Amino acid sequence: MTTTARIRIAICVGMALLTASASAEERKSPLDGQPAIRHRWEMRKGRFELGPSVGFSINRALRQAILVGAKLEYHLNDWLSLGADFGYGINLDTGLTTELKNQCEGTCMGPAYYPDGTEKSFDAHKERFSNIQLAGDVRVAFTPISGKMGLFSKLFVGYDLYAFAGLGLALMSNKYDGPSEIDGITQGFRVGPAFGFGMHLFMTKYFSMGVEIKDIAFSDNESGGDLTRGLSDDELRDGTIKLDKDDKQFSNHWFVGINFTFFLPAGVEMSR
Amino acid sequence: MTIRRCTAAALSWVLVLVLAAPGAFAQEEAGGDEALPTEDTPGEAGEAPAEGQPADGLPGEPPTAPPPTDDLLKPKASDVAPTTPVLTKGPTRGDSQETWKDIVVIPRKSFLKRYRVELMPYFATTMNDNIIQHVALGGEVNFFLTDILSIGVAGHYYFKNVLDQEFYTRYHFHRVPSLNKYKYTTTLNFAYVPIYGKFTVFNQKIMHYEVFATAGVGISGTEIIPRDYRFGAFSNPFTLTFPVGMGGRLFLTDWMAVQVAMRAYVLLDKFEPSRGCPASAPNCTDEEEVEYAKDNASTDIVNNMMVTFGFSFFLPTSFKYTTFR
Repeated sequence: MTTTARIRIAICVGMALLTASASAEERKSPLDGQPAIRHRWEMRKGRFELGPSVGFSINRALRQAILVGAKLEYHLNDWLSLGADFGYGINLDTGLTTELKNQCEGTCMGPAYYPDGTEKSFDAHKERFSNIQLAGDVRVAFTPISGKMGLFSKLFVGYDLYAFAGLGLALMSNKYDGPSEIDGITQGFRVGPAFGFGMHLFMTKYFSMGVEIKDIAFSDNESGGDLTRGLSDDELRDGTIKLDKDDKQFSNHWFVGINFTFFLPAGVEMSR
Repeated sequence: MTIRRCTAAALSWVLVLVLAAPGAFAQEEAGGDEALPTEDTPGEAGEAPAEGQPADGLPGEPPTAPPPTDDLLKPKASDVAPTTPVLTKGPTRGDSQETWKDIVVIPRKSFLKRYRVELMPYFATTMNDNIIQHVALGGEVNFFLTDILSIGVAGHYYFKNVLDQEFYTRYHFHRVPSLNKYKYTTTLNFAYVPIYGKFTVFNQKIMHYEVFATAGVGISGTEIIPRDYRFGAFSNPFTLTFPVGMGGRLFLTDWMAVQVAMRAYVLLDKFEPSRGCPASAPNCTDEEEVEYAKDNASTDIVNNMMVTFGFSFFLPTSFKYTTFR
């Protein structure tokens, strides 16, 4: 037998094995292509979700924000929803701010920082810091994962995991009464992208506890200080401290939150 | 030569027919009188579906037992789907009687870990320090004493990343933060699995997971970053460390899982004191000054929150059930 003939036989045998394998794969289980769960409570499909939410900032350096607000969402189907989550900000000093304050006794923010030659106490200087007055997002949420769990074989709850993305909005403020250029960098309305992920724990068929982590990215200047050392001003360019619109930095604002939401209508359908 | 070619081709097609035949026979059997309905057998177009058979061509529900009348106090075996566990040795889809074995009332736990070793390379990053960030690469080896209890060792090496806020703190407040960089951490861990479960993806794919809690003890190596570059750094090579955390495993195969965890490493770390030679030795050398600073370093408790992400590989790569299906 020549080499060519051997190759041809090998090809034919290979085709035979492939054909046999394909035949085996054609055998179907009655479960193939069927829903993983039948008679499942449709906890999301066609329902509104509404309830209070609280979010805690986790990466602000000088002024922490606690957002107290509400979440509203409409679930178009089991896995897609449109909604919004906004909160009013309660702002508190971070550990770094407290530490700096302890270090700065009396008038520690000196003339170098205030070119008019004045000196400020740390508390007076702190009024420049930016606070998150209002923040939230308008979102499209995607819920690919749902299931139920048993906690210590006692408490059985349904849950789902979702991811979302959308438009982030924030209203920033300060307490400063001085030059308006500081207001320009630490006050005002901000827009940016937002995304995150979260989880519902269904305690009843119409009430859930949720946990969420999200990022709202927008331009910010936490300290109200110069970031560019005047170098952004083509005419100046001598290193003189100057506050202008360039002294803002596009940054991430991460929040961890919880929410307690009601699903309406309270009645829930069952899948086939 | 031509005869040889023809012989070879003929032999090949005989092989094709012989190897393909079992599959074809299996399909034929499955489509027999007693076969469960499949997508291929919903009935002719326009024909009303049989009782218990949905019109959309999907398999019908398992036949249920008739109401308990006097005549039917004892339901026939053929009327009832096998709902009790059945021990099988492998795929039985070719046999229509056994096709229902795909459906079990109480599925077994999908993943067993007892007496198996978990190897996990992981990536980690700190979460709660806005002046200096550390990312880490490491590994963990766990041995499962039972399916829910494990003991193991872990270790990782850090890479520091001083963040913008460090510069802004110096620039805006004329203060230099006291910073330590981390070098390594190694720990002995115990883990407990209180929760396991499953979820569906789009109500089609079922995935299994578990949640674990872990705690342990270990050591870390840290080093100060001098506030003034004229002074030298000193190390804290054996800093007592207590890791606690929670995480989850998502099982992908019989031997692999994805693991995500949030862990807090509580360190008793030493930070840089005020620098300079002591009053008793104003002309000390640089080395003596560093030793003096190290002796006078302040000890603080640091809670270093880290998120870890890794892939778990289990050895041996398979496991056996000891109970019926």
